[in-house]
Amino acid sequence: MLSEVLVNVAAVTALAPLIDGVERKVRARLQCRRGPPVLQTWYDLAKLFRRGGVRTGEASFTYAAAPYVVFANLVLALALMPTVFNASLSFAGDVVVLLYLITAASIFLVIGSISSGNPYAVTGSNREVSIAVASKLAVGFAVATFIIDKGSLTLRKVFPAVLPPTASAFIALASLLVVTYIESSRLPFDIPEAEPEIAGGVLIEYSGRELGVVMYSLILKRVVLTTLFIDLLIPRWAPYAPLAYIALVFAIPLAFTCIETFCGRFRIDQALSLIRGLYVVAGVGVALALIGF
Amino acid sequence: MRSSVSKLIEELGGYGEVRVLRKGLIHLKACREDLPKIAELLHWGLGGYFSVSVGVDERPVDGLLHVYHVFSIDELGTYVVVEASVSPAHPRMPSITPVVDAANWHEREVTDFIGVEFVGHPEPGRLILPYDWPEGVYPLRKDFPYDSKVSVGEVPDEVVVDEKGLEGYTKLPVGPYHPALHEPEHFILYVDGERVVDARYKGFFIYRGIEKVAESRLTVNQVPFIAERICGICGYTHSCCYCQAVESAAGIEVPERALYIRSTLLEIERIHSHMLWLGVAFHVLGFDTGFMIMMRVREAVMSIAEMLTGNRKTYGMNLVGGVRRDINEGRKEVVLRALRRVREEFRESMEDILRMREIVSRTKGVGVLTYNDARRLSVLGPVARASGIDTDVRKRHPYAAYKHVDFRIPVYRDGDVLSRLLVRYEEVLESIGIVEQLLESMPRGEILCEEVEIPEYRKGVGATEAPRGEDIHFVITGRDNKVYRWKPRAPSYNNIPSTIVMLRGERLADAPVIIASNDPCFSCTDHLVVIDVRRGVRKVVRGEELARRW
Amino acid sequence: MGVVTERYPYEPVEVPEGFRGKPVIDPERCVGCGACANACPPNALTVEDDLEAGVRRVKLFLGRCIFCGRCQDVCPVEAVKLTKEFELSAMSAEDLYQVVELRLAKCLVCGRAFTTVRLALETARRLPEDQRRLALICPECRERMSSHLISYARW
Repeated sequence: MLSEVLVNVAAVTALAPLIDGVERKVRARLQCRRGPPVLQTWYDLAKLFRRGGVRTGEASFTYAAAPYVVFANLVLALALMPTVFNASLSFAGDVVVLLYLITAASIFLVIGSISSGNPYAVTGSNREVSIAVASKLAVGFAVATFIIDKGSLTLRKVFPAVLPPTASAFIALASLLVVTYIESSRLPFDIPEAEPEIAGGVLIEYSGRELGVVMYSLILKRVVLTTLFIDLLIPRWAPYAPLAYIALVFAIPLAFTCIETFCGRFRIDQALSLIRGLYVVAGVGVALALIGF
Repeated sequence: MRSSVSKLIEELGGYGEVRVLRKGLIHLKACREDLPKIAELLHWGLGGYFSVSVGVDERPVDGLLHVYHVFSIDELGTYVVVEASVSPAHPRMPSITPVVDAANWHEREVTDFIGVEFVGHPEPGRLILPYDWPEGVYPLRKDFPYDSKVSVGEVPDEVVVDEKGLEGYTKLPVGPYHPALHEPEHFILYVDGERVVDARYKGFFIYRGIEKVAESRLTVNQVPFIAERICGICGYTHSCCYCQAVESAAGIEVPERALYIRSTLLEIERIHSHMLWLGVAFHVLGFDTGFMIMMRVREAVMSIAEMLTGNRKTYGMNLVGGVRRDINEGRKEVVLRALRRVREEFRESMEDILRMREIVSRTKGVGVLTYNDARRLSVLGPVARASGIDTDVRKRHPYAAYKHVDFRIPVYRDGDVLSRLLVRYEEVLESIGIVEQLLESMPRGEILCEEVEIPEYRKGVGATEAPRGEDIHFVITGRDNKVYRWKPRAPSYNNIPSTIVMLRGERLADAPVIIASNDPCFSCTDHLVVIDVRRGVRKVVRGEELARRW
Repeated sequence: MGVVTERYPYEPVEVPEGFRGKPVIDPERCVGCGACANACPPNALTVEDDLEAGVRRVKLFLGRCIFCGRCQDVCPVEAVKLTKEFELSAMSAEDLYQVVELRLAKCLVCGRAFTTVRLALETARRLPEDQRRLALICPECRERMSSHLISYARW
């Protein structure tokens, strides 16, 4: 069992940059360009890992350690969910732990970035925290719905959310899908990184190997969120589950990329007001769950 | 205010000797004490605008240092060159900046390079010369060889700016390196959370000393090639402007067909420049797909330029007296066909993009420059037209073949980034129409005036409507096939100071798009000799901030 | 929608006729008059006489060239032409130079090497037959001879 969990985690971690590569290719084609080869993200990460980073004089331990902590958080989060195989680390209350790990990933990144002392990093972190806090509330509502529906705090009992199908579950799933889009730093929400505006924001002081780890973490975060969504959607015991997982873990980001390609970037206040709109939707889900739908 | 050229000459006559150098160019030799009054009359009283100041070391000619302030009286299609001089022993004259804000940088530049002090200037201090340049060494004086090496002083650790009243705000430097900017410039933004409270600008990092090089070791017909390299996107307009200035000074008649060819290429340049700007603006707004779309549509225009001139952007077409290459019938057909497609694709894409909520909401009402501020700062081109000023050199001081074609000047009143965007959008469509008209009606004939005589010490002004606004070159012809003085002034020189006004009170996230909305050409600006640049505000919160300058 | 980007440098790129690429001097045609060097705005073309070796060197340095084509415009014998070549990176600076060496010719009167053999021939070709020997007399000597004739000859 544990070996299957390890395979799950390793496979998905290795797959993540490939998914990103496919996304870039598709985006390029939508823009009438040839695009980089699908393995390009792997090449980029490999190049970054080969290089030492350049640190500012004020960089501290938190700054240096943060990328690795973030990465570890996300890998652990993966371990809590079945991916290819129907195996995961499961225990009572792991729903809460999962949410914690995903949130902590953002927080640790922000902490590490702020400790570099760069004013752009501070601005980017401001924005990152604003969005994270706002969207977590929406996630909270959605997850609350599932918990109420299934009456359990264990992921295995909560998955999949659509069986038995309830109105509240679908609403919660829909709002979760939107949050997944937002949390994966996609246009119009890539505000914390906003390269033309704040020169990379959260990422600005990282370079070389550490930047590689940070970028890998961001890619991994997308896969973690996608995995959560997929697991809520398809029953894990079905024989087609592994194939369905692999298909969806590519298809969902690709769908997002198609949407993203045709968007400009929101300003932070515009993003926040949209997210608050989600509360209403997600709130309805909770209400329905409470009354039994 | 209805006036006429003769009335103008009469009024100016009260201040000194007036000469009509040629149609559209009046010269006034004034007493330096009268300069502020004359500036008041020309910029405010007669509704003209201040264009450029030129400092010239004419000690080899008459022992004096001269300053020329050039104003444009749009209504009369006339440039007025106001000349005053000082002796090198007491090089001081009254500043006109208290009267005309726009002259701020111009006078400081004259001080830097010629050593004339402007008494009463509100913000004297080095503009272009680096901080470690030795005192009392004025590079554009004739006794300073262009290849001199100077011994430099200490460089301060930080850029020195006046920061009164801004303690406590976070300082956010934008540049000299920043992903939003494509050339080095330095804006310091004082922010309070996400709001920009104020800004300071320090530029001229890539000043190249082209004016000096041209005076010292280039022949009259070599200068167009260096003029072209002032800018990476608007080089040809500088080349035309220079040639026009020399042609104006020497009284050279350029053949009609050459004028048509020049105009055609100038419009092609405008089209590709605006498209590039649109792409960059979309990129800055996070809409990279928009950037890709613009580049794709623009590619056809670059290919047209390459086919007609031999290079995508450095056309090398001008010599004093005409152009070097003709446009034959076959090429004309190719161009017309290509432009039809460009127009269609461009219009379609832009209409789609302008329907996007993110684009409109991030440009509407952002970075406003009011009509009054625009007049005060003498901004030019699309920036001026977006703030309600109806001005365009092609209509007001017709040059090349523009008097033969029909076109509109788009003017908007809101003064925000969206207005500037729309002005440029419409200008592209108008330009395509202009090229079509020019190609269809191009007269036969010569393309270059072979016999060209250039008498010494004649003054001339050439002006064109570059993609960024009025480009103006002032030339004094010299001897031995050289120019005595050449001063190119790109439109961004007048426009960049307005960026600070636009930035005050805006959100930080909007800063890059505001800076970009000016379409600043920093290469243009830094040059003064050589020129070239890129990158848009609401009213200031506090009254006293308005009173203070940038 | 298609794809508009090209696979350069894995696929070659076509440039149109009239494209201003690398200038090349035809060593068979060049006469060493120096008109190109005179016209060249960035001084990429230079002409220098090596009296010891008895040659005139016309040097084109691509590092300074701006591909304006003025040299092509002014060359009286159509020796320098701009090609369509634009891939000009080189591993060493020497590869960016083209040098044409021409034999110097001496003045018949004072013996100073003031022109090249080819230029003298070309000049002679363009003169009427009875003035052809002037092509091999240097400008200073010609001036002296003219003023002598004007002052002292009997007309």
